[in-house]
This record gives sequence, C-alpha cells and structure tokens, in this order.
Amino acid sequence: MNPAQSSAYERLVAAAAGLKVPDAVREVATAPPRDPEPSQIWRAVWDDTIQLLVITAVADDTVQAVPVSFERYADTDTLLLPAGASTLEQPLALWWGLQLSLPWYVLDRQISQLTLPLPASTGLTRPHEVPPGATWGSTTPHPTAAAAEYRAVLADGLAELSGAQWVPHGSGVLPELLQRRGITIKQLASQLNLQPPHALAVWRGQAPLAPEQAENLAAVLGLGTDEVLAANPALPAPVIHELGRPSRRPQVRALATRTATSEPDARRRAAFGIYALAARQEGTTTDWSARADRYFELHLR
Amino acid sequence: MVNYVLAAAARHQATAMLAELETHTPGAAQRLARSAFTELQTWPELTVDLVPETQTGSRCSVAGAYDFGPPALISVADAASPARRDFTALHELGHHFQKHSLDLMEAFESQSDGGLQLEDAACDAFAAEILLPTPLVDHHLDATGPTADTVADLWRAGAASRMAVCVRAVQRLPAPGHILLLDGSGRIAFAASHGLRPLRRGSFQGDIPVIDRARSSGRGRAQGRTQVRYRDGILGRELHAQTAPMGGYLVAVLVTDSAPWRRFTPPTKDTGPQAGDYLCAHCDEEYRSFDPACSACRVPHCPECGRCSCTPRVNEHLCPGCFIKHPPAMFADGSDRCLDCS
Ligand SMILES: [Zn+2]
Ligand SMILES: [Zn+2]
Ligand SMILES: [Zn+2]
Ligand SMILES: [Zn+2]
Repeated sequence: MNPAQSSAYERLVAAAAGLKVPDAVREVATAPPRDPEPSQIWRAVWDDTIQLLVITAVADDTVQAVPVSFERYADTDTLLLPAGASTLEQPLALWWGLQLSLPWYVLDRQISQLTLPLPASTGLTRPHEVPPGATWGSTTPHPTAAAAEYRAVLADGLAELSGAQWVPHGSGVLPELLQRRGITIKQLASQLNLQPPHALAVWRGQAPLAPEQAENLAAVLGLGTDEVLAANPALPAPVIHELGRPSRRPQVRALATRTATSEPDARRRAAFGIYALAARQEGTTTDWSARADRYFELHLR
Repeated sequence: MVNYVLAAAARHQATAMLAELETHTPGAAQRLARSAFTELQTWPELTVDLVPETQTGSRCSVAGAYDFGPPALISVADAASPARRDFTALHELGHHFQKHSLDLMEAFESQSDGGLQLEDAACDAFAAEILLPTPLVDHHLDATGPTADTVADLWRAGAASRMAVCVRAVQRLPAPGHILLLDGSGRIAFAASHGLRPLRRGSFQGDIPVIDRARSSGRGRAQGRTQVRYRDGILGRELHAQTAPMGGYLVAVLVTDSAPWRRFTPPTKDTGPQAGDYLCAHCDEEYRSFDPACSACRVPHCPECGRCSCTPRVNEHLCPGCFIKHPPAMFADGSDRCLDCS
C-alpha cells in the first residue's frame, strides 16, 4: 500500500474516530451505500489502491472525481477548502488538476459530503469562481519537490482506479460457432467434462469458457484458442451497471469471501450468474436489479 | 403474443418432464399436486427458500428464481395465495429438470433463442399438468361434459385455483355456453365462455332465475333455464343452467343444448340480442352491429379488427399466476399477471 495514500486515509479514520466525530460523518459512513452524487466525498478502493475523492459529476457508469487530501501539500491547481466546507469539519485540499473519470465500481464507501457548492467546471479547466472561503493553493507551505511528489503519488493512484477493469470482453458468438459445427449440448458436456446445467449455459452463451476449456474446444472447432476465447459471452450492459453500484459491493465482497476468490472474479461470477438466472418476472422488460437481489439472496443465504 | 407452435412444443416437453419426474421420484407428482412447496423441501438435492414477498425488494417483480448451483437453489416469493406460491415452486422445479437432463435439452437445440422461451413455457405447462393432470380432469369430467357438481369435484380433488378449473372445464363443454364463478353477492368473479359472447367480470347475475333459486335455497343447488345478463341489462339467449356450491362461491354451468346433467336437451331458442352491443373477443372493442352474425359463433364481425368469435385469439396471454390465457384487458399495463392474480 502506498504510504502517502494510506496515511491520508488513516488521518481520516483518526478524524472520524477521534474526540469529536461529526455526526454527519458517522451517519454517511454507516449508511448502506447508495449511488454516487456530485459533491459527495467517497473512498475509492481497487486492489491495493485507496484514495479519497470528491465527485464532481456523475454519468451512467462513471464519475468525474478529483482526489482530496487533508491540506498538507498543495500546488497551484489545488483548491483549498476551509474546515466548514464539508461534514468532515477539516480543511481539505481538492487536487483539481488531477480530475479524472472513474468507473462506479471502484467507489467503496461514502465518507462525507461537501456543504459548499462546487464550482462548475468542465474537464480539467480550472474554474474562475471558487466557493466562499476557498482559495487556490500556492507552493509556499512546503517545498515544491515534496508537493510535486505527493501530486505524482495521487496521479498514479487515480490512474490505477481509472483503469480498473473486471468486465470480460467477449464478442458473444460462441453459440454460433458451436451451432455452425453442429455441436450438441450433450457433445459439449462430454468434450469439456461439464455438468449438464453448465454445458447448457455455455452452449447458450450464458457462461464463459476458461482458457483451458477454450483450448480444448479450439481443437474440435478447428480454430485458435484466442479466437474461441474472443467468442466468449458479452454481458448485457444493465448487468454490468447493476454490479458496479456501490450497494452491490458488500455483496460482491461477501461472495468473494464465500468462494475464496478475488473481488473481480466474484463480480464476474455474479454477473454471469445473474445473466443465467431463471427468474419468474412480471412485466416484459427484464428487471436486472431484482434479479441481482435474488441472486445474492440465493448465494449469501 | 402466444406462439402456438411454442405452446405445443412446451406441452410436449412437459410430458417428457413428467416422465422424468416419475423416474426420479415415483409418486412425487401426487404429493407435489397436494403441496408443491412442502414436498420440495424434503428433496435433498434442492435448497428451497420461501422469501417473504416484501423482502424481494420494493419492486417485488421476481416471483421465483432458480439457480443451478451447485447446490441447486429455488426461491419462491410467499404469495397471498398458496396456489400461486405452489405454481411458482413447480415452475422452478421445471427448470431444475430441464437444466439437469441432457435428453430434455435436446428440444432447445432447434430453437432460435437456444430454447430460453421453450424452457420457460415448458415450466408453466409442467406446473399446470401437475396441478390439474389430464387423467384427473378426464376422471371428473366425462365424455358428456362438465356438470356444476363435477366441476366443483374437480376443484376439490386438485390443487388448482377455481379459475383454472373453470377454464379446464369450459374446454370440455359439449355446446356453446359459459362456466361462471359467482361470489356471495351474485356477481361474476370469473367467467369462462365457449362459443358465446363473453360475460364481464363483476356483472350482477344474482337475480336471474336459476342463480336466484340456488342462492335463496341456501344450498347453492338449482337447475333449469335462464338467460344471462349482458351490459345494460340486455339478456342473452336462453340457456340450460345448473349450479353447485364451490368453496364459498357458486359455480354455474350454462349451455345452449346437450346439457350433461339431462338425458336429452333440445337446443334453446336463440332469444338473445340480434342487434346490439358486442364485446370483441379479440381486440376488446365494444361495438354495436346489425350485421348478420357468423353462423358458427353467432357473433357479427368486429368493425375494429374484422373478426368474429371463431377466429383464434392470437393476442391472449398466459398468466403465470393462474396459468389461464386471458384477453389483454385482463392485464394491467406492464404486468404479465392477470387482474385476478395481481
Ligand atoms: Zn422460469
Ligand atoms: Zn364466427
Ligand atoms: Zn375486434
Ligand atoms: Zn391470473
């Protein structure tokens, strides 16, 4: 874990666990996670990277966010907020120049909320107007080198979060490949030594092939292993969105613990499980949210 | 839209599933028919959970789910009616069988969607067949057709809802007619019609001759001739009618002729409205027509869709709650459950 980042987080924990725990902090940090909204301060986590962020804008599957630290280092692109600017009741430094787009699924827990309106800003442009009491940083409190180093650490962490991936990228043509070669479900089951329900899911394009399975099948299909892997099923966008919601993260983590796998593996497992779940549903459009609820109810019982 | 080819394939698949069930656990079909949920809880290979309907999220749109696991998991939303809950449990059991039998899966291979729709439709057909098995229906409703008592007997013998029983029974009427389920106040709780203009749910029939006598006798039993009441008090043609009590309701069987409870019944005279208001069986358009009626179904063609009552209804839709095919008017927007079940 990066020392600069963890210390920022530890300071936050200390602040939250300290003598005066702002009620607002306790409230948001213990509430069930909800979908992100602008002006919220979140903890983002992926692998070993942990970073506090202020959300500046929210899109379907991504957020725009700037890293936030407790005012120790700053540069000229850092917006310094007074203690009263958030429910943390601590002075904050918003690293405006590092604003980046991040996927929802790195968001871990909301920590706090800005109580001042954020300046309107598009992309990396530094806003002209700042909230009352806020100022742009200067290089004076600390030597330039230290601030630059801190900035680089934040930038690396953010790049890490921004590039976080779990979604498998398949073209979904596997069922077509199998059917074109006239491979029946029975043959698929015996070729790959799969249980019938799993063979059916693979044959229908509802479950992905592992690399060894793709290699095995490649020989039968007269294709390269890479070609077969590339034909793996594509997940429906709403399923990806649903599993990226912060409220799903505790469920995904619990599934990872139960199945002794990594969080991304557990997320992929849940995604294909939700995709293939046979659910009796009202209405004509698929309610992926209700299906996800039901999937986790079944698997975390 | 109901795909008739799919429906036939689903019934065929359901027959194979029942055979598989009998091999798997001989005698289970009867126990499942009595209480599907209780029976399934004793199956070691399955984990069956009853999920309170409120716990399934505010949307509560998923009535049941099946995950092949392992272990294989079934969850069923605890519905207000045990019949609906058991139907869902049986539907999910249908998935279990189809997903574990490579032989049953063969039927999916010829389907363009990989058999997703067929699998689901077969689950419904499988559940329906367990709750109202054809031999049971055959046993209670003989070749002469249903009487009010045999319909009530079939309901008592099976595990299906009154409505499902009425629908099964109306398919076996020997002549045009209705099977009505009337509540204590004499209103139609459910009506299944065959070859006659359908009657509206909620319409009051409590004072028409045979029904009136059945209600006032206190025993619910009467038979004779009567006309049913359509909208605006218009009376239909005279029909032979018989009633019996059915668990707090009154079931009435009405036919134009060949009444199964009589040795010989000549056709009643068609004294019904020759020109008047009709409710289209296909598009639910209400219309007034003086056109000559179709000689087979006695309903003039609908000005909206051009069809009479004979033409098969293509847009009716199977309700997964009561497994009855209902007209579109029986479904609220966006729901696949009929108004009776939702
Ligand atoms: Zn289903
Ligand atoms: Zn006709
Ligand atoms: Zn019409
Ligand atoms: Zn229904």
